[in-house]
Amino acid sequence: MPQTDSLARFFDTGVSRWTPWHQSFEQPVHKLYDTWNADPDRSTLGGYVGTTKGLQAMIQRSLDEERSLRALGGGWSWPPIAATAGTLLNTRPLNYRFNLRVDQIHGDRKLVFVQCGMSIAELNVYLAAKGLALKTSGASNGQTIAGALSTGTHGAAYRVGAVPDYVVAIHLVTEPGRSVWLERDSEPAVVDSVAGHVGAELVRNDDLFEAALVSFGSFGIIHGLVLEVDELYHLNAWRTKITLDQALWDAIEAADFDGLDLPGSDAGFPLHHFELLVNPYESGQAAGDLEVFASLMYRHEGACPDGAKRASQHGRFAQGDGTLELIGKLTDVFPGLTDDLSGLADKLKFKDSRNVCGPPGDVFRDTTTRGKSASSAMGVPLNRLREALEIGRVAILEEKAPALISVRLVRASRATLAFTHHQPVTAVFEIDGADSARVHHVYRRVQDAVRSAGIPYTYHWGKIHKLNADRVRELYGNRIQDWIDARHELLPTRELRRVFANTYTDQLGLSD
Amino acid sequence: MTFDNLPTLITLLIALSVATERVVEIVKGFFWQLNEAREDPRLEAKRRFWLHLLAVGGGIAVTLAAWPAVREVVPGTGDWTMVAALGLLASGGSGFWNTILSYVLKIKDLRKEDLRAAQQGASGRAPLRQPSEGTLAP
Repeated sequence: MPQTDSLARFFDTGVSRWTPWHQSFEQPVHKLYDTWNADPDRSTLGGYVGTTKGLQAMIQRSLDEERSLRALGGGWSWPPIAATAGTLLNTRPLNYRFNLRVDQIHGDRKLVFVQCGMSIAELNVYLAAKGLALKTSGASNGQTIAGALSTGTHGAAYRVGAVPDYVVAIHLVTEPGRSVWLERDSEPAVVDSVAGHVGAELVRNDDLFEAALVSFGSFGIIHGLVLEVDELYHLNAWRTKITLDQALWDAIEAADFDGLDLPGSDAGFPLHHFELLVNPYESGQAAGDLEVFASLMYRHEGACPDGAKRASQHGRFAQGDGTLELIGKLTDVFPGLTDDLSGLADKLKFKDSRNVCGPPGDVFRDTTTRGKSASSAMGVPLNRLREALEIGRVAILEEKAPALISVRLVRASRATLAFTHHQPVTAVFEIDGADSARVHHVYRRVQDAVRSAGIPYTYHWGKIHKLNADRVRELYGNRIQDWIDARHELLPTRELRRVFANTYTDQLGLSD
Repeated sequence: MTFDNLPTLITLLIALSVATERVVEIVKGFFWQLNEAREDPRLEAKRRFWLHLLAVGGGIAVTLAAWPAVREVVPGTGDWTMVAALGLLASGGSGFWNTILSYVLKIKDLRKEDLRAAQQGASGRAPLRQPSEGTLAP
């Protein structure tokens, strides 16, 4: 048996209503606890095991009280994915980090083991100090690693994939007295003894692992994760306007940008991040070659190139969600202002910059503002992106909605419910804007039109979507039953499954 | 423009409002029917209606007159809807916008708190610690 230090400490915050980061809803809660390791200053194995036992005690209490239990990360999602009227555990203070010795790792890989509450920002700092870096992350860095995993958070690393694609083992606390160390059978991550050190039962099973990756907190509490990371690299970033002409469309549809004369490409480094921003008001009513903002990042394994400007956490670029909220209210009252104010939103989102370079942690920066913005991201196959983009552009123009479209390319994921599963590369087509009635009309219109056009699509689970149980089955087919079967295997009783369900999973038909 | 320079926009509206108030005062001075409060509630209501209308018209005129300065702060081409909206906002009076400005400055402080809370967890009650690295071996 592993040695156990003191159990985790749970502090009742006294909070009775909880609101996520983007203020998309307000959730009454029975209790919201801050969860702390017994010793927050030293990552110890005994402390980690003690926290596992504390989490198991919380599951027992939820079973006794017949209440739902959710682990809360950064609260970054728009829908109530982490919400419950039962007990919320704020896991953000659980940020232990552990080195894995070479003899504990299967194969020649760089792995670290971190606790669920570590934010992407913390991870960037921790890894950079070790000369390492995440393979990719989302556009901002406030999510916890467990939250980013559970919703399938992605960036625009079209050769890499999303967050679930570099998680190689999960320590899942499933019930009182039991936790499992889950890995792929086909690609084991660590030697058998590691699971024993954390007091977990070793389970190597590809199907269970792929299902647990994107599981919205419904498979138990994800306590720890093994991440496969890279040697520290630098990103050379260029943001400027380009023409979305036939040559660029051909490259997008093939996910192959070699030979294309893109800004920054002349240095010959591989393109790592591909993102486009389309302002429908600037691109005009007529379809054709669109002028779009491109955000392109080239990966340098060594230092930044000579002459590049250094990326900094304290540079001038910052998002402006609060201003988006104001734009939403103004354009609901004065639709005629939409054209001008969307230009403002454009400037909020992207500023022209060239040849800026830094490690990933300095390029993907702190989001410092909070407010009622809206965001919806749809995954479509590359060869249907053009149609989907046109549907979105026309819907925004006709609704006069204060919104912009961005396009990011993400390598297809193996996770059962990853929304980025369209092979070989998923085009993520995102509509961001003010949280206004007009923008929500656009979301509904786009979903209906894409479906009518027969374009296969999926939705980012952590962003706004208009899905229900029938639609989810329609979009994911057999994957839903595979996911439900895996959940039954890990949570064998109805009572346990009820503890880890909420209204969001009820609505999507994923609770049982 | 970001939330951080929203106070600049509101300061502009305060300036437009002060100018609009002066325009209204000057025009009122020419018409005793507008300048003097009436005892008859019906006539007083009518006087107030005309004063509001005058304030809106004054706001639009001031915005148009100040457009070269306004466009430095407010993006866009300045079509009639933009001018009308700004005129309408300016007619709210400088007192109103002063109050809004104080709210916005308070919100800016709260947003700093939000950032702190995000770095600390949902309740933000205690600062997060950065523990030293451990090893996964007994």
